[in-house]
Amino acid sequence: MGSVVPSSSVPKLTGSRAGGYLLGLALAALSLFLAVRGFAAGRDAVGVCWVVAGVLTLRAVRLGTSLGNR
Amino acid sequence: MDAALPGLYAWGSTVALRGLLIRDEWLAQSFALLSGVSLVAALSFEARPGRLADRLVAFGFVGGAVASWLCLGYAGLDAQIDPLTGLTGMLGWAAFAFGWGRLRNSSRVLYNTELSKVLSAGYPPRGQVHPLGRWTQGFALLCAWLIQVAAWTATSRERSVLVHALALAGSLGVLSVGSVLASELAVSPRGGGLRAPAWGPWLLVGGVVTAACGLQWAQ
Repeated sequence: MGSVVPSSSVPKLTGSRAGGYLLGLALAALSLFLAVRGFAAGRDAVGVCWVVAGVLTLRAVRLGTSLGNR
Repeated sequence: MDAALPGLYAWGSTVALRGLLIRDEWLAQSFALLSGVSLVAALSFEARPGRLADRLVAFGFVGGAVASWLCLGYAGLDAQIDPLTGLTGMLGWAAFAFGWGRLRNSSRVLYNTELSKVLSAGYPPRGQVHPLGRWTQGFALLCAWLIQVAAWTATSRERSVLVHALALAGSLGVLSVGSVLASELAVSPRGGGLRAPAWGPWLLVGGVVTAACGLQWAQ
């Protein structure tokens, strides 16, 4: 029989993986910030690119943290 | 009735009066009509609203109203909306949002009874939030605030609505994902690892590539 490890001490998300997702969140927020700045300055094409980048990155982080855990 | 009256008032004052009564704007009229029909259809599920009713509200009612406003253009809206009607209409939309939310929650009695059974069965409590989770939530809040600040840099009045709508959606998205991330940092009673889907990283790569294209375009 294997030893029973107290599972309450096991984090779900740790180390470099947690750092990666935090970096992804930061990148997504930066993209959306630049998108808003782009639209505010009248540069629609740049704004659209940043919106797509931000949404894709945000979606990737969301899928990685939630859907992948099922 | 919590959602019906505010919804009908909001639609009548901000969509029907603008979209339906303007001549030679058949597209705006069509979207305004679609919005009203979707609202009535969604309200017919009032006894037990489900996913279909939610989609009717989100894509039919709200989406139709937004499309109708976009078809009218800023100039058309400026000419039609007086500040008092706009303000009361906005309050109507807010009341509808809260009323619909209450309707959705009241239909979840089944889940609550199931939850009480689960709790009475003596399952272990959830894990505590990791301190890094709180920092993550704070970071997401800061990012959302910065996006809101960026929206106020819009100098053109015609653009401000679009920019603020985009900033609001972006802030909500960042806050939502930040909350999920913070909760995933919690110490789980059951343990278990987190597995990213195989195609998840490709989305991240797509985001970075699109950002690079945006940078290239900006130069």
